[in-house]
Amino acid sequence: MNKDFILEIAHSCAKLTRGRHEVTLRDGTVFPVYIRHVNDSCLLDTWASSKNLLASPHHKVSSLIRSTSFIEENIASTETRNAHSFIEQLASSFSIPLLISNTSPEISKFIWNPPTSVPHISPIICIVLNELTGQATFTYYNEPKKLKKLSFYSLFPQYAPTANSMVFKFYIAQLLALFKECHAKNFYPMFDPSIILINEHHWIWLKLDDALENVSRTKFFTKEEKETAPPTSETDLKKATREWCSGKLTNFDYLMLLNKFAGRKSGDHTRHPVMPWVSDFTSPDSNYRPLNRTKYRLAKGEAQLVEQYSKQTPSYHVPELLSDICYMVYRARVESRENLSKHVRTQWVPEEYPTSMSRLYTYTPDECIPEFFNDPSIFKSIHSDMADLQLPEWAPTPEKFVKWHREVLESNVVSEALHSWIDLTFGYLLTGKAAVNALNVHLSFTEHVQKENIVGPVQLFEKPHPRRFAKNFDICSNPLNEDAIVENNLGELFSKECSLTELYKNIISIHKADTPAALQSFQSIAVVILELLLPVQFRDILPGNTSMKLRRAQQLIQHKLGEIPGYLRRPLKRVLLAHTNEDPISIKNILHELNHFYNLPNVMTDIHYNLVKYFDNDYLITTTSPFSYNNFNNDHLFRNKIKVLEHCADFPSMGSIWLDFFTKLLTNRRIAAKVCYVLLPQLSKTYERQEIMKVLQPICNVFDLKTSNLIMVLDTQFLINCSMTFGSQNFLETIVPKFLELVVVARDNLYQAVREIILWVARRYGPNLTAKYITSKLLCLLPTCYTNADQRIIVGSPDSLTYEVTGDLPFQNVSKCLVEIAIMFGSSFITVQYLPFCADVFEQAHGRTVILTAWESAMIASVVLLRKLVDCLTDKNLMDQLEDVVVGKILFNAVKLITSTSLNFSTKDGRKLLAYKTMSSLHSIADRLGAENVERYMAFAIQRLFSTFSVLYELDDNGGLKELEARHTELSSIFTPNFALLLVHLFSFTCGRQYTFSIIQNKELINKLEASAQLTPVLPQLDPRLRYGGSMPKSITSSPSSSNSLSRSLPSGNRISTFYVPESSHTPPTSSLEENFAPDSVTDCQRVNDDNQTHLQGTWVDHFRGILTAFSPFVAFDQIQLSSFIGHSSAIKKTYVMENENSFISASADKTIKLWSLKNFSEVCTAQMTYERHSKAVVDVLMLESEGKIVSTDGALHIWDPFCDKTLRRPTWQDSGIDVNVNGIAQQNSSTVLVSSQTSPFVLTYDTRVLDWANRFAVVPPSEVTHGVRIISISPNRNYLAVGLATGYLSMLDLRAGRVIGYVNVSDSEIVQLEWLSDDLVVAVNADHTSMMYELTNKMRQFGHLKEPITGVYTINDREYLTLHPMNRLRFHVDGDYRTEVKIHSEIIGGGSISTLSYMKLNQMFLVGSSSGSFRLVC
Amino acid sequence: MPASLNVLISEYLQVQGFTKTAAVFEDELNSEVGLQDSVEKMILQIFSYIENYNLDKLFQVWQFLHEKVFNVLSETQSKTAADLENTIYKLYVVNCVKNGKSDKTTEFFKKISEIALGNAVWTDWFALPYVKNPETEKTFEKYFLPQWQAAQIIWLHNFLSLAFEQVDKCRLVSCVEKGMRASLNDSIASNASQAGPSTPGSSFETGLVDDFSVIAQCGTPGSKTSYRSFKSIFKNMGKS
Repeated sequence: MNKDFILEIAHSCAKLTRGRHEVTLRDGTVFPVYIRHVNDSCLLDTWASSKNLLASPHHKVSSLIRSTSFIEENIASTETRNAHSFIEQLASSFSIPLLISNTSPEISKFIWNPPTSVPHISPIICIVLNELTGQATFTYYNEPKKLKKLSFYSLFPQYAPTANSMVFKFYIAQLLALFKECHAKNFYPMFDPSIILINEHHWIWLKLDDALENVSRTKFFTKEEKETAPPTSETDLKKATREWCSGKLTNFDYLMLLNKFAGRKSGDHTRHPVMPWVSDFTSPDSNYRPLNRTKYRLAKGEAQLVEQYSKQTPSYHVPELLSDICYMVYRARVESRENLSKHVRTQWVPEEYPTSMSRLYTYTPDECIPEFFNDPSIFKSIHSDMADLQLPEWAPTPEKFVKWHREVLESNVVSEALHSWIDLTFGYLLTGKAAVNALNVHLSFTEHVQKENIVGPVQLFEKPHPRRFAKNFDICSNPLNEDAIVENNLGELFSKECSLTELYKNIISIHKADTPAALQSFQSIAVVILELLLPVQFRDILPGNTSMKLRRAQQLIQHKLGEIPGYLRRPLKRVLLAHTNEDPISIKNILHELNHFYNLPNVMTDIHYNLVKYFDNDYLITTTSPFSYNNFNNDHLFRNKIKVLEHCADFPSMGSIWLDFFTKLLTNRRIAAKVCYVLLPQLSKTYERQEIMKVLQPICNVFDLKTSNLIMVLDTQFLINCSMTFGSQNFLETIVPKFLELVVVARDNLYQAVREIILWVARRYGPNLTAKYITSKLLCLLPTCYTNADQRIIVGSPDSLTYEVTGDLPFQNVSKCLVEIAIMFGSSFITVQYLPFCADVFEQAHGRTVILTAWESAMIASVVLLRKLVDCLTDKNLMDQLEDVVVGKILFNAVKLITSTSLNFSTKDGRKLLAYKTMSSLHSIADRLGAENVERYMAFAIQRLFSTFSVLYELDDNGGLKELEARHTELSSIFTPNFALLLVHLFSFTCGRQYTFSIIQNKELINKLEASAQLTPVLPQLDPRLRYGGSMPKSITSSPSSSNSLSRSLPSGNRISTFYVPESSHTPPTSSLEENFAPDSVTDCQRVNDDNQTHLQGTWVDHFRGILTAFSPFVAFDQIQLSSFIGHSSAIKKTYVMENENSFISASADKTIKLWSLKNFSEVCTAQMTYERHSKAVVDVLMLESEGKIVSTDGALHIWDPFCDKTLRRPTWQDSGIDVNVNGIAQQNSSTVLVSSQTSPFVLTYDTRVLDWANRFAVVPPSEVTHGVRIISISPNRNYLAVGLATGYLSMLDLRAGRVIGYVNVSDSEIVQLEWLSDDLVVAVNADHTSMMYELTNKMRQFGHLKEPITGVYTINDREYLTLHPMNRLRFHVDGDYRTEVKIHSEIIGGGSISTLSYMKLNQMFLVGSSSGSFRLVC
Repeated sequence: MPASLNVLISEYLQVQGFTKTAAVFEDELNSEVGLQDSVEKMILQIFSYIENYNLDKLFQVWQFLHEKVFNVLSETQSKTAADLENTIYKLYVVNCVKNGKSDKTTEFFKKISEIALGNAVWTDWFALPYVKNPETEKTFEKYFLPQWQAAQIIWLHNFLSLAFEQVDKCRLVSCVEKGMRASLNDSIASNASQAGPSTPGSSFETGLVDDFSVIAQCGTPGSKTSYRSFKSIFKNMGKS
């Protein structure tokens, strides 16, 4: 932003009104600005009080002087000062360009202060000061951000961060920083929640003009209070209430005042002022509306509200105080059609709006608005098609109605009951029991607030509102009575006014303190904090009345100390009571320690420092490229922002704030990929799973073609990170589908990348999950390649078998992936999943009369895919599938559909496309099968095809061709003479012309049609293939005899060159694509069917089929052995399956830990690695997956890295100099483990990130010290720790609070297993085969026990668990009920008994370890 | 706190002439040998204030905890901290009542009223000085049981352990550590200047692996694998 540019903007903005504008500059650019004014009187006030505002040691006659010696001079010069120099000084302190404008541009003065960004100060482009009017125009950048006032939180504390949260501390830190910033510029405004703005990232902004206005207002009020009290005090709610009670204020004015205090603003549809309905408009002087019940209750009825309250969660009676719909309906006559459509109903139906006042009253569940009492114009319709709002018959004109209505409002009947309505709308009936009884619980006051845009009521009174006296009551004769009202009903919280001494001290302190302005400003920060802490206590003071607020705060800090969080008590007290305190503060001394002074955590300083940098970049982005938000030139600024956040993400416990920043950055498509790539790893370290799930959807949206550098996130390392961060299941269900969709649209390099990634995911997760999450989705994507009209544009030669369309390219992309996956896992994918899919498509089309586009595309895709699949099958497999599936369910069905006369396709081109694609596949398959097989299996289909011509044509008497009447248009567009010729060629090619004609009934007709064809058919070249597993029973190459019957005689073995008439113009443009698919020399068929070790074999195929066809919702256990893992020589003590289920760990009594991978699907597996550094039987092992570290113990704790095979640490746990044996490990969070020992009453935590011990939890009451811990188990949500003690006692610990929740004796024998069935249900299994279940509420409660003798229990999922009983019997339970029992075959457990059991829930397999050392995978 | 820092502080105090403070400091250092950590020190301190009826000191300890320890806690933990504070005060007043110190009891309620007024937790308790045998009264019965007290002691220990773990390092400690590290780095930097700093965006360099199948690709199982071959794992993974 250069000088000329700003000057030009300044000139154009000089005359603009307040609000958003677009300034058109000389060079034609349009620049959005936001204009605000500070007017003359305000400036003069500001200037008058500016000794509180600005101090400049350099400026001799400056308005504020810091040292007392200047005060005299200052006062003396007061008369000669003007607002002008004040603004000038402000502009120079904050470095804002200033234009002092006069009548003509020539005498205008431009003072150039190069603009900079000041933290927390809303950036200003320039200030224009009009010398004549004294008005100052502040021109701001038009920010896209939504800003909220801090006072929103004091009005609606339910949305505010709580006082102990980091976010609240972050607010304090920012307020202090803002003060420091102003202090550095000698600018001392009085802060108030109403002038502090916050953006969606909780970042505070101050608009300078707000600060100026606030000062003048303060001045104004202080003056007023000292002199005569205004007749109706707008500053003091209590006074107003008193005045209303005594009749000095009208009902209308009082209610408007209440609305104002409650932060309701005229014209804001979210919180427009409310008024009570007072009449139902059926009679002019009776039928008043009952004011002691809400309008909502009157409209809906008691019964419904009670019912609704008991059934809904959260429970509430009233959704909103004044919904935007009602607001708009009330104002329907004067609101624009767009507004009405936006809020009420998208469709414009003028008749839907109530026609009369009484209808309106019956219709609405909400309260009234002030317009109906004071604005006659609201009845007159501005819409030509909507009548005016009808008035009751006694009011002939709107003016008369308004007058009457207002009289009703002010009538005695209403006045006497109005306090009840105030109680309901602004008073004590809004909260607590009273609200429930009054059926007045508002949604916005319930705990589970979902949407911030529901703005509920604001409670102004905590006690019942006093009644109003009837108008004729003479209050003057009863002054005592009036006081009594105040005393009794308003509840004087602050009855103690400041004492005289205090007042006096107050006065002298102003003179004595070296920086009174600074102190006041500093105090106002404390007042803001206190107002946020105790918002209800400040509701009766209007925004901006800072002096009254300060007095209130000073009272509160003494009387409500218990309600202020511990860390703020002392600092607030010291600041607010600075004048009385023995412990005075000096701002100068604490200025550099402000955060420390307020006891904020040390990290706050770092966080703030970094975010200042972040928003500074934001400022630069706004100023350098004002014309386009996403400019190439400022990419480095965005990169800076990423860098800042990368650093910030390390700061823990800031709530979701970093995730919000992250999500915001993701919305910028240009940098989204980089943001993801760089920041996600950081964030996943800081946040636990449930919190970070919030960004899953935004990350998914990055996988989109519009994202630049998309290839960056198609990276295996990034995706490993994603899957570990969000969990494999979420990754597969949510992120994977996103890049699968890319297969259809991606091209060239991007496509290659996507394909590589898909194959990588498939390899990583194995065949079961690939089939479930990848290939099934890919199959469903195939139809989308042919759905849209632009995908059906012909690019090959029409009316031939090279009938290619634009959709073929994406189709090839998808099918290539499918084939590659089949190559990876073997032909089972084709026979178990792909072919059944194709068959299913046609099965489902059966019986339909109309084929919709979606289904039509599915069929097209299926026949095209079929051809590819057949290519991948061995001859034997093909013959197995041929009759039933390939021909029976697919090809023949396809032919039936094409030739059907009763069906309608979506378009005739659609049918044609299906026809040609079917023929093309038929051609290829027939070629593969050979004449004999075609004759055997396809004769019927051939007959059907040819006989269809008889439906359309017949031979006339003299042998000529005649088209039949009433032709089926779809059919006739396909079954043309050319098509006949094509079919003849096609089948003659395979079976010979003689045979073909021998099976068709309408030979003459076909002959005739063939003759009349104009085009020479083009048959595509079929790849000479290397047949796998020998040739077909009768290969076509060995049937030259048929060629004789062709119309043109052919030399045998050279058929292709005869049929294929190469024409350069006919070479399809997609030929490059064909090249991609040319196999290296090994065909797909061979690759799918060779003996690759990754191919599914044996029982794996059965399990694979089982998973794809399973229909039971419960876990199945068929005792089928999948693999056995060879290596352990002694009992398996513990297994740990990684979350992605591709690898697992086993610990054994043979002193080793083995790592296994599920990659090779063979029956016998060996370990990937053996860890042999333990010297005794290993008792426990687990892996911290995100850290890539394994923690194991044989008594001594080992922490090691399996990938480097390196022992990182062997921490010893010493107690009084003796090493303690570790016997149990549990994972507490992503990087720390809990460790227990037989000989210690403590459970220790060990942090694997810093490789050191952390906390010590005592788990047993002191009397039990002698007994150590036998076993520990942490709840799934990681909040509770169950501790089994050697004595048979069970202790339950809340890990967040450190509290022992329960301590019970379970049995006389030892506890051998503790298993959590859910977050609040734990089972203890004892050595004597008894068991006990405990439920955790806030206490521990015995829940039940299993009657059967039991040796173990294992949780499968939220609903199911299984129990292990003596004799290796397994029992399955669902929802706590017994379902079925299985006795384990002894071969599975190698003669021993089951010692460990793990269930892989994604793959639906069991890992069973036994006491004999045998270790198997079973399903 | 590292031992060396204690020496530094002791030296500072003596040089600056805070000899009395220095002496007390030395005393405390000597008397606390054998205590595991600051948590245990803190707890013993709290109990000594309770047993010696030193209410002001007890308040001071909690003020310190609130201002400098609990200020880093999460919201739910802050709430627990407030509950715990009330519990400790109850331990104090129960101890007073048990030992028949009625003057201390009265003093307690006078002083606590500033923060306890309007707090529902304390509503019943203001009656305590006027109850004859609180041990048998239903409201207070449980607070006189040793089991209850034992459970609270465990709670206090566990919670302080949790809180101290999260607290920012004492600024003096981190300053000293930083200074030491800086001087250490200076000497290292001269030796190994070619080690490039990690650049942002390279956060995957030492990235994540969660698949054991890669292990077999580099060397025989169980053999020592150098970092270089570890890197090659990534290359292989990228390809696969």
